Amino acid sequence: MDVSADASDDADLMRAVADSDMAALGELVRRHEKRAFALACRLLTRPDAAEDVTQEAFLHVYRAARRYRPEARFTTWLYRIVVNLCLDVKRRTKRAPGELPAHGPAAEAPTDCDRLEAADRAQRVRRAVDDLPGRQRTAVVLHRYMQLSHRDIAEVTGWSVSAVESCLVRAYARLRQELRDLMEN
Amino acid sequence: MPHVTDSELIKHVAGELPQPQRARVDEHVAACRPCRDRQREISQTWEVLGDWQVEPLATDLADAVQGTASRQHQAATNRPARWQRRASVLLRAAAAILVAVALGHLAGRWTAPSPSDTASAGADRLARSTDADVVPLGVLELGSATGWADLILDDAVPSEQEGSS
Repeated sequence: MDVSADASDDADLMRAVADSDMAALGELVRRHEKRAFALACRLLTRPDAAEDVTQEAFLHVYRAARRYRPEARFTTWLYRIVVNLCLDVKRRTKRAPGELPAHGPAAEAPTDCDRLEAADRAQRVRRAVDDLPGRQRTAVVLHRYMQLSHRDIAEVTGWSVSAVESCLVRAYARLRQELRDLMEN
Repeated sequence: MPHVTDSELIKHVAGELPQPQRARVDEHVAACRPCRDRQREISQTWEVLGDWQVEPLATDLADAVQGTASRQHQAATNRPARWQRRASVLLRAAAAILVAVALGHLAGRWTAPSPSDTASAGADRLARSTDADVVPLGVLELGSATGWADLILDDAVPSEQEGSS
């Protein structure tokens, strides 16, 4: 994957969006909506809310296009917007500890043991990540699921690299304790 | 032999370490049991976290985003310029002040007492007054009852020349 070419394409598209080019905005959305949605979904654990946040994030991109500077990668900027929107949603919809909203629409229940077990493991992992303190959860989601480096995470969150490292060490240690039985199985 | 830090092990498991560093960690882990155990734990945690898969985005948001952005752009285009909005606010404020002043003026005219009422009320007070200190200047004028304020005309004073003859 030619990252530099993609980055320059994103910068070109952003310049067009700053001139209110709706086709360029649509192209940016199609390029990045899946990853932005995946990020929001893992931070919120609710696909319906994640879809709203993703759409709102791209509208933020449109409204702030004139302030965008190509020195920062577009994905870094986009992920920061998504993370901030998700934090706002989290603050507004605090839930009781241990309570986890249903994941996705009412899907058919798994019909065999393996799928039941897989569903249970997924649920356990989802709960463990969601129960992490806010900064640790954000760091783990960006690192493990969005595959961002420590430096990229620092750019998205505005934390120092050492703060990111410290956060990840604590988060993975906590997850290791929480999910130890799954690892042993 | 310095041990590998947890942060380095996390980067190693995530595939972030550049090759020279990766080789150094591999070499150390092969020879150090505690670091090898920690690497295994971090690696297992990494794998287990992969059990949580999210459903991919089911809809294409591009059309919805473009539609909303277009409407916002249209609304922004039709909105008056900032200076026009400010001028409109100032004009409305000025009009409101003028209306308030006019209403205040009218209200004052309706409720203020007339000058004749003021004079008759003053004469009544004077007639009833028994306080010698409360003497309006009007009683000292020419032709008044006290008279001591009558003008002394120049020709009423005999000249010295007339008196001596």
